[in-house]
Amino acid sequence: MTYHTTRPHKLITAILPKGRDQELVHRLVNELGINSVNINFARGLGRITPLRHRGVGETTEKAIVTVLIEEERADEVFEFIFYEADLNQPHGGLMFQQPLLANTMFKIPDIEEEE
Amino acid sequence: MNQKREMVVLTDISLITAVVQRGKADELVKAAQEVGAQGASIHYSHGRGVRERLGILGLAVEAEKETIHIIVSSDQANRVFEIIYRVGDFDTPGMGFMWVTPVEKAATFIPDDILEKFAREDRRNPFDVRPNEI
Repeated sequence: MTYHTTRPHKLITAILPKGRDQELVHRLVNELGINSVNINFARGLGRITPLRHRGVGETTEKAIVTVLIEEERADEVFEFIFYEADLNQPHGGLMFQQPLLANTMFKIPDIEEEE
Repeated sequence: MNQKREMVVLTDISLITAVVQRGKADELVKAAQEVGAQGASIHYSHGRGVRERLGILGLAVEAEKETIHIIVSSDQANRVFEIIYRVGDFDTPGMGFMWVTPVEKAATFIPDDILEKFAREDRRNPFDVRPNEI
């Protein structure tokens, strides 16, 4: 088996209110050409949440978007997600970036996307 | 209307990830918040490991898991890690396991008054909340 090592990559994770994920992923794919995006769903809670007045421990639905990106583009993509997913707004969520020790490339076949 | 574009980048942060039996997460998150954690996200997962090795006793281990992610300042990572370990009985086989990974930077909305407060006190980041401030 052969595999190709790649340039250093970063893992960007954004924890967003549910519903903001699809639009963000669409734009990451179409505007930035990123295919290595994954979404999973979670419940989240924090000290300052929209439902805090209902009691401590109230949770809200979250979408967690993870993006694998080359190191050189990491800052650009980090900033893109921060503003385009409204993380700069109250209750907008939280995002962070982590280093990776190794990763594989994710290459999808050249098939036209259906409308 | 022109919106002020300003991103406050937080550093000196760690991510604590804990995998526990389903139903345990809320108690652990509450304990973590009591020692300074700001919040957490929790998702469901399915795990296997010690459950299969325990034979009939494995029935006592819930196969459905909850995975907890908690972002903390590096200064408080040990404190949060220890309380989760203790409250979660992680020294008992099958109760769960956790790890800490480095975070290069993080960003979120931070209200101006909190930023000013932390700037005045020369703190490194707003995640660094001390237990007596909770």
